[in-house]
Amino acid sequence: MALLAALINLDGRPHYVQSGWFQISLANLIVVLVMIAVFALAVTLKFPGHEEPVAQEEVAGDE
Amino acid sequence: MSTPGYPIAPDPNVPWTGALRRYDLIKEVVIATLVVLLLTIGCSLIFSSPDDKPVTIASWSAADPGDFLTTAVSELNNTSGTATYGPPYTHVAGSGQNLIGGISLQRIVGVHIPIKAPQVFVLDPLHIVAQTDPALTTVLGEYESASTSDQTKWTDAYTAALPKAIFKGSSVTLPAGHYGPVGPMMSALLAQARAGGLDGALISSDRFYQSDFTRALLFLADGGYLESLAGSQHLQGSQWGMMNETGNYPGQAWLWLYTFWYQVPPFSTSDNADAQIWGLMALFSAAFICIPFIPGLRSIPRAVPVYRLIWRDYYRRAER
Amino acid sequence: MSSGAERPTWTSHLRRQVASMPPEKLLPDTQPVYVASWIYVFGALTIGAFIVVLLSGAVIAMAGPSWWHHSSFGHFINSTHLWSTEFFFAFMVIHLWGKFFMAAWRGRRRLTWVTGAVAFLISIPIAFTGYLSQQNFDSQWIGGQAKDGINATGAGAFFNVLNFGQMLLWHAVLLPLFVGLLIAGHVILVRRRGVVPPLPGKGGA
Repeated sequence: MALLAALINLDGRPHYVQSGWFQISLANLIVVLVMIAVFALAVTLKFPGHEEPVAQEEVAGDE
Repeated sequence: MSTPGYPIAPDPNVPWTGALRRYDLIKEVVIATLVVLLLTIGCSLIFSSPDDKPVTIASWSAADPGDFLTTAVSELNNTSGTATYGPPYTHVAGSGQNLIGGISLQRIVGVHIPIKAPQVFVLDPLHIVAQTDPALTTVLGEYESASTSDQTKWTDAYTAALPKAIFKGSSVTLPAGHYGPVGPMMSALLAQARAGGLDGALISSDRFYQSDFTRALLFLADGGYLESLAGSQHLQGSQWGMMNETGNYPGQAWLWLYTFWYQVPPFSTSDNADAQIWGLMALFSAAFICIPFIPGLRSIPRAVPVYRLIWRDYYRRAER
Repeated sequence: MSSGAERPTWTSHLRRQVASMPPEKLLPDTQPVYVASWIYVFGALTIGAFIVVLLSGAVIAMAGPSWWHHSSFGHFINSTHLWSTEFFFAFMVIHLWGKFFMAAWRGRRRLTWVTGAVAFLISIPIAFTGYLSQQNFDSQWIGGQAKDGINATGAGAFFNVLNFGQMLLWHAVLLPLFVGLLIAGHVILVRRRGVVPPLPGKGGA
């Protein structure tokens, strides 16, 4: 189970980014920035296999 | 004219009759679950998770006996945070936060978890010890039969002398003064706390099993020790604490808006900040749910061309 | 059958509702051509994260709430519960951003937005009661702080954040059940109405 010990210890002294009344923990800031980056990539990166539309044959269950 | 199967302005109210593409929904969900599972296992192996040891009354009274006794005396003389809290714990005229004007939901609902601070936090636990300590029984009898003014005189004198107290092990020595029975009572309580007895006394009930820590947690919250530990971890309300986790772990980033209000006036200086901010967040939450019904708000997406990016391939064909 | 059509009953109403969602509609293997962007996978990722959250929580539930404090494997499972929660919220919020910018509530899809938004809001107290159920310093501090907020609304009299047993049951039973049902309803609504088509393009209405 020693294998399961954390490779990066996040238990140390907390790091914060502060500007006036604004303050955020470095960990939360990274999470938010990664989320924004992922969103930006999701709307810009090309989605595979969209060039071959199939015919309108079996549109089952139409109202 | 637009490309067949690619209407330039598809009607969202009718089922789609345009071009289709193959899409394997189940494969998508299975792969998504596996991706999350791998990401989760990866992060867990690399970063683990926090588990800071809980504070016990025993560890608190050992680490900061002065703060412990200050809190205990304030419970005894009904001046502690819990004693003066008001609903849902104590009957205190005019206490409880106002939502707006003089309207307080806290007062309207009233006291449902009654806590008699002197009994619950000091006298009842001491009576347990007194069963095997005749001297303490006498002292408790003296305190409980004294007039309120005598009790207050003793507790006030004790509180005033506490900053000059000298602690050695589980004993406390105060400069000579008129503390009456409060001196030996507090010494006994400190010894009981150091030995872990107060932890047990505050969670025990007349039933065997327990799952409710209200009394022990209220007592801890009345002291300054827990707060000082939280302050060093940036967890206090004025430090955007609701979003934060101990150490360098990500916390509840989704509470950013709720946390934000506590940092800015008028809420940062308001006695009714909790009630006002919860009221405000209730409004914001309702607005968030109702975005599709709110003119203006629901039109924002048309003004922001993110949708042009998302559907760029579709528009390229449709507008050809 | 015909008698049911003449005189509607609750049963016939339910039968019609079920019949309006045949397997081909519930589990289609084609989608409109415009369903072609990475942003569409974040709904599935959110469901995937919810499944991992439930599985890791189930392992903790089997061993009991104190287990992970004294077992290194238990601590690892707790870590997976924490990180899958972080992913659940992150993917849900990215999904939310995407659906907002697509104005995905158009065409009788407002209830889809509403169920999703409520699922997001209810997920917040799930995480919160989880923090309260950890039995560590975090739980003590968060409980002591949060009581003031909840008491200020009057709800603290009935929803006692310092009552461990009550918070654990809200966390492990009531709230997940509620969010699970909301997610199921949300997905059925998406399948029922279909994925919202693009906003009008240039030259369109």
